[in-house]
Amino acid sequence: MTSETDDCALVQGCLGGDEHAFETLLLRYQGPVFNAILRMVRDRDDASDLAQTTFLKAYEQLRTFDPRHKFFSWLYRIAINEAINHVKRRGRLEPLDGERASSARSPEAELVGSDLSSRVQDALMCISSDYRAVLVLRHFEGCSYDEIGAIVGVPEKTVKSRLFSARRQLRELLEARGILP
Amino acid sequence: MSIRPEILDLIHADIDGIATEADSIKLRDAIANDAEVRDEYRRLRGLCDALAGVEPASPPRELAPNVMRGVRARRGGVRSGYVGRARAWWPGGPQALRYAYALAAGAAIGVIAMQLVGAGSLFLPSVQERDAAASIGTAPGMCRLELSQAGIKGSATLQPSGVGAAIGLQVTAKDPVELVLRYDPAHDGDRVKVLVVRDGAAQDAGTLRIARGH
Repeated sequence: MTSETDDCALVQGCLGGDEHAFETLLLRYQGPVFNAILRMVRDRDDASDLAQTTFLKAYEQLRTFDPRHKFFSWLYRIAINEAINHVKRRGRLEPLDGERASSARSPEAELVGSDLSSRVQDALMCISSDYRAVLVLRHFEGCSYDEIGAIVGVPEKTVKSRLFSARRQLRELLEARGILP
Repeated sequence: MSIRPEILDLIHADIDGIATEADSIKLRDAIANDAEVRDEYRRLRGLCDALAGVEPASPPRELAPNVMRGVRARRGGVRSGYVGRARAWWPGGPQALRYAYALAAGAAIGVIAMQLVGAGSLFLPSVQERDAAASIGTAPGMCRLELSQAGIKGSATLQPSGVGAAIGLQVTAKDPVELVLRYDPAHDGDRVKVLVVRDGAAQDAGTLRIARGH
């Protein structure tokens, strides 16, 4: 992750009207933000739309960013909230079981990666969005417990407890589907 | 599962790479001596390996250009140049700036109200009644209505302006005065009715009329 000082300087530049500063932040974080959202919602088109919304919201709310905190935590918070709200809005699309998840896999989902990636992604979609968020932030984005707490807005202790439960649930799903021995 | 919570903590800490040297020794010991711990550790490791095997996806090529198009369309949101810097600099941030806006709006409303009640003495030099009468007499097309018949000390004037008609009020009062200017283009033509509201009832104070030919 790039230094926070650098991010803050770019934010200040953006607030001063430097459009290029925002573009630099966008290019720096579009990959991680897109991936985090993709793991949350699975559909690539939805992830693209939500990533776009995330960056535009960040731009609009840039003045509310507190430079004492990490910029990427603030940005991820917007992204994860967008993804969770999207999942809740489209709750009917959340599979109830593994079979439904597999049959619902779209061609776009196949682009997520190999078959293993897709099957892990399918299983991820079967756990609650709160649990999914901590798993995504820890395992795909490499965030610490402390950073995850700041992003999802819960104490570190809750992060730990959610992460342990999420791992157990996901592991059982993957074992039940023969993905893990 | 009969694994003690502190051992489970150690397993997760090891997987997350935050276990201390002492933690690792304790965990190695537990793994060596307890088959259940060994199995739990193996299964969790397997899960983490599977998650690590998920390939990262590249963001769509159009994502950044689309966002930048949206940013340019919203440029009014983050002001540039002096305005942007002033807003960023404002002590207390944008929240405080909103209060400042509200305060400024309140002050403006207050000034207008005082202007109405205080006979315009805030902005204009105080004018003696006889001076005003003289100036009214020389203004072409101006109509003046004394409000004294409605129990108010002062007058209302109506005169042609560049885009229509301008209404002027000169009122002296200790308490707030509520005046209603009623104009109906379908029926009133060049007349404006002046009403004084007291205790919720409107009392006719007279009519202002622009002189013909203006």
